[in-house]
Amino acid sequence: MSPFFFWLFASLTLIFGVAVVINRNPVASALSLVVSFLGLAALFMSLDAFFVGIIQVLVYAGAVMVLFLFIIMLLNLQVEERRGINWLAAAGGGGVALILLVQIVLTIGRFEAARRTFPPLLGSTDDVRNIGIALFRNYNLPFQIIGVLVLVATIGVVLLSKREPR
Amino acid sequence: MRRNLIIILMSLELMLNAANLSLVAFSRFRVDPNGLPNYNAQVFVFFIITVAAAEVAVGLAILVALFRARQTTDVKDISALKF
Repeated sequence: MSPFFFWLFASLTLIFGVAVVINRNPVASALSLVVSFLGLAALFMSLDAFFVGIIQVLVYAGAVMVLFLFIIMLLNLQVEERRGINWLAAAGGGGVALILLVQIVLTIGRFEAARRTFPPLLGSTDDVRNIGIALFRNYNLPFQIIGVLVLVATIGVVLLSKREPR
Repeated sequence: MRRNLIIILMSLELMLNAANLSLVAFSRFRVDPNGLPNYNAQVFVFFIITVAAAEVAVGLAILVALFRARQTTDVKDISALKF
């Protein structure tokens, strides 16, 4: 993928990720998160991970964010009023992010294989088939456990949202 | 610091997605002799997406139950267990 598209989607993801935290309106925050997820899915596609990219759009942008928006509408969350910025907390958060960035840059800069482009894949990868084979051959037990986990989560959600019987 | 619980849950999703991106990048990094990327990391990403979706569902159910009891989503008002 040409560098222009990489920088476009990466900056889209980052800018709207920051907008999630900064926005005072929860609906605007949720929609910024949707754009962030779509940028991320584009980055996944650029890394030849087509199945994961589609699942990202379907599950995250399509189900999780819809759930968030339902809850925001249900609770009727209002736009927060403007508070003063806590400069100490902002400096702390920004400092931690800066330290992480410096560490990543130093580590990857020292890593000689990071300067080359990725080795090319031979032919077209049948992504879904290969992930399916890996999932059901090597990771069958975790897959079944995830099924049980989702079942437990469903039951838990139904239980947690029961109203008190009057 | 954002005190609204919904924003905190959304930031959790952002963090999980950051881990997903790094995993997918490393999956593409090493190409085995068949010319395929290493799919173990992509299977892990699949699991992380599933677990994050389940966790968001349960977290939002807790949020709704909390809102029904306290009428607030501010974490400062939910400090009964605070040391």
